[in-house]
Amino acid sequence: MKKEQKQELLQLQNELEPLARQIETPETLSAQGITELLEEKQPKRKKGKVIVLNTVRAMAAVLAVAIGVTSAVRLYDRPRVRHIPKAISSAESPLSGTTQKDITDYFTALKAEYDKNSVGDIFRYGKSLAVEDKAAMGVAEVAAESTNESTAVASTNTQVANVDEQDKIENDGRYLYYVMNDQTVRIVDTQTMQQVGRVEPFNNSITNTAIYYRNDRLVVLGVWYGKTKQQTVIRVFDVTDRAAPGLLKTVEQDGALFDSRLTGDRLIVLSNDGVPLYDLETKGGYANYEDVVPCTVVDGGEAQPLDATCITIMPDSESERYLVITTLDLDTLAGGGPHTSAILGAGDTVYCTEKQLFVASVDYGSFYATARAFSDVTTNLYEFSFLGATVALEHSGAVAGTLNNSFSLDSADGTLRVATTGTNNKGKTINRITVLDENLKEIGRIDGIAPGETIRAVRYIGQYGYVVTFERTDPLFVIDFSDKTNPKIVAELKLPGFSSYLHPFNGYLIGVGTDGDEDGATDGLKISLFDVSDPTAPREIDKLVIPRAESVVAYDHHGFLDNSTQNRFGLAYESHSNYYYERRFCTLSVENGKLKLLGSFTNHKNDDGENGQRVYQPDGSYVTAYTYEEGIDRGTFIGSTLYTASPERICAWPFDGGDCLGTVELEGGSRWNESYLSR
Amino acid sequence: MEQTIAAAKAAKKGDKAAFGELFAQFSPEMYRYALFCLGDREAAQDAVQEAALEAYRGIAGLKKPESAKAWFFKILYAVCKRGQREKYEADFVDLDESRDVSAEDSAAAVLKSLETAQLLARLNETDRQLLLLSVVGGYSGKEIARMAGMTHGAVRTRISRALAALRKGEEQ
Repeated sequence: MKKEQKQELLQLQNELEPLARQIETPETLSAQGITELLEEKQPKRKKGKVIVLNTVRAMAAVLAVAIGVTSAVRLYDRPRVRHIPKAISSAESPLSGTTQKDITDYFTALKAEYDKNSVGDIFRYGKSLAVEDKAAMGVAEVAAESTNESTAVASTNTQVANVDEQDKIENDGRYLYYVMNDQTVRIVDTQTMQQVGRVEPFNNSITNTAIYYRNDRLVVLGVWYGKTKQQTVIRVFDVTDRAAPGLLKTVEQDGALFDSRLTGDRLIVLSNDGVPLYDLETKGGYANYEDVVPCTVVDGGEAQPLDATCITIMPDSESERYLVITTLDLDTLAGGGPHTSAILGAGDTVYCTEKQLFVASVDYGSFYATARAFSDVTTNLYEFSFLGATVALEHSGAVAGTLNNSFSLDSADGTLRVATTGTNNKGKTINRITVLDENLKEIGRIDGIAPGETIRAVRYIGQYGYVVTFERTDPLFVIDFSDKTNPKIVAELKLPGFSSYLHPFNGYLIGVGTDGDEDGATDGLKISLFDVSDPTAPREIDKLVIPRAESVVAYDHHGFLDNSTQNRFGLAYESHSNYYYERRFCTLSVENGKLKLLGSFTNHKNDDGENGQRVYQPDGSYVTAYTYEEGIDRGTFIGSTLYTASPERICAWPFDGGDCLGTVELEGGSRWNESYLSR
Repeated sequence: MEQTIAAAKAAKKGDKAAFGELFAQFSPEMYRYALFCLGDREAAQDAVQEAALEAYRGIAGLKKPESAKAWFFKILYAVCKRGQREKYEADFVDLDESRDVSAEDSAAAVLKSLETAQLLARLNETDRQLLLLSVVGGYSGKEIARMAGMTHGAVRTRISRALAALRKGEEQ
């Protein structure tokens, strides 16, 4: 490395030293702790201690707020306690028709075991983390909301057509609804390029706000840390008058939001709610019902604990965490109110079709099953129906290994196809395709795919599945599922670099990922165009590399903008070619088997506002530095106009590139400008 | 070093206690690395434990006992990568407890250090990991490239960019 860089690194090291010295390594990581870990095969977690001064503590609190500390994220959902009384845990089938006593018995036993083992620690409940976030397939709906019925209008890029996913931006063909980093939702009229309305945050602590729009209804979701635990808030607004959104319904459910879907008029909201065993008070050693079940609050009323009949305990469950599912009909707002159910055993990943809701939950289990050839980690799969009056658990099953993200699952032809990565008994990664029948029982399998590599992207199209694995080069596998019990690899294409997201596009397959050379990945953003007209012989017919860049689409598919009806698409990406990072947006077209970069957009304005910092150029002129709040979150379009949204402003452009057509400055971005309009 | 090699050889034969001894030599650094990478104490603990389990399971893959530390870090890098999340918490300090800070560092120094650490939140996750492999792990660009499965040039560029972003963050 260069000398200056070496010095800078040394300087950074020195700067971090005082804090590093304060960090105490937890006892669980001592020699004895590690040995015990190997013996017991069960990770324990003790509260890490950091010594800190009162002033440092106060300062840390302030800094934490400034950086935007949000709800805690929990890496793994490990079973913490063993030896649940046989009567509860070894039931043949899930206990539905559960009674209050079943639940209090369960938690009384769990708490007793917990106290006996003195396991850990303050639990912090939050979104269980899937390796990558939502990815999606999308078909641009030609919505007829605007005055011109034939105008193409963008919609959220989703995995399954007609099943909407929560996102930061919505577009109804004329108005844009955008969630700001201050947790308000701004409503912008694209015809006048003015902000016309807003929705305030639920309270001062709400975070992770996401929205849906459908037929003059705006759904706003958020999470906050309530009195003792995290809560998810669902609000439904009537936005017929965009200037004055009217609140129609509020539902608060225990647990932190981990995903949601909107299909037809049915809204499904899922959260993970853990019972804090360390804090559980028992009366005479017996747990109290209200303390061990999730509660909901509707329209600010009394907190209602869930009825036992709405709760399911999975067999062999040792989990103290619930998957809480609330359904709500947007149009009627369900006479009788929203319905909530819960299942013991939290979830990590959601895959939803128009009829079935699948939730996957990773079970880390025992780490040393020497007899097994595949990973000891299993992914439990739960299938729910949600179209009736209540959400019901229909089937459950399991596969070995873990999912990359929701795109690893596909329901087709009465089967569920699952792509997983695990490790063999030598510690090497290996990949597998499993086909499950409608009862989620295995009927077909391909083992031993790409040893030493991990799955980076999956997309199922009809009878074929496209799987990208990577370690140094990117084999793109094509799997034929037409014989359900005998899936077969029909093609393998080796390429440098790898795709993290695959998108079907007018008969082609687009890959968004990282470029590579013989040594592995480089720092270029690669967009590939695959000809899959013959799935047994896929070819990369074109590729485009943006050097020193990467795209958010790799882990959040909502950054991909599908405009396939006009042979175009766009993506949000980060460019590193300047002195700083810049979050930009680019648009591309596909014509005659060729990719063409149409335009690259930034919301950075070279003005000299109050906070503008000058970066002087060699010729004496200056530009103002790009600020983080000018970074583009999302792009959307109406007709041939592209709109790029960033916390400070929304800009309009010709989709094919060109000068800015108009800007709306958003108050409450980092610079506060009341009714500022520039052209 | 001799001790490390002896422990490594015993660990490869399946001696759990020896593995514990071997791994624990590097636990503090690994924990610190994971903590700065993930910004969450529990997640960092989980990550290091997960790395220990993976390392033990795959101990056959440790070819040279002298490179045990680098090998553990490579596994930890991969574990942290899987554990990336959308929002970086920067949760280094336990807000519920306070004690006198050690005599070595004044309150001001720790405070300044904390501010710098908080700026890590602004970095791209992979860049943060690479930067910390250098600053906390002490690895060279070439070593990092091998651990992360990238070219040396890519690592250099990304670290350079991360440093620039940190400085930018300080000015703002």
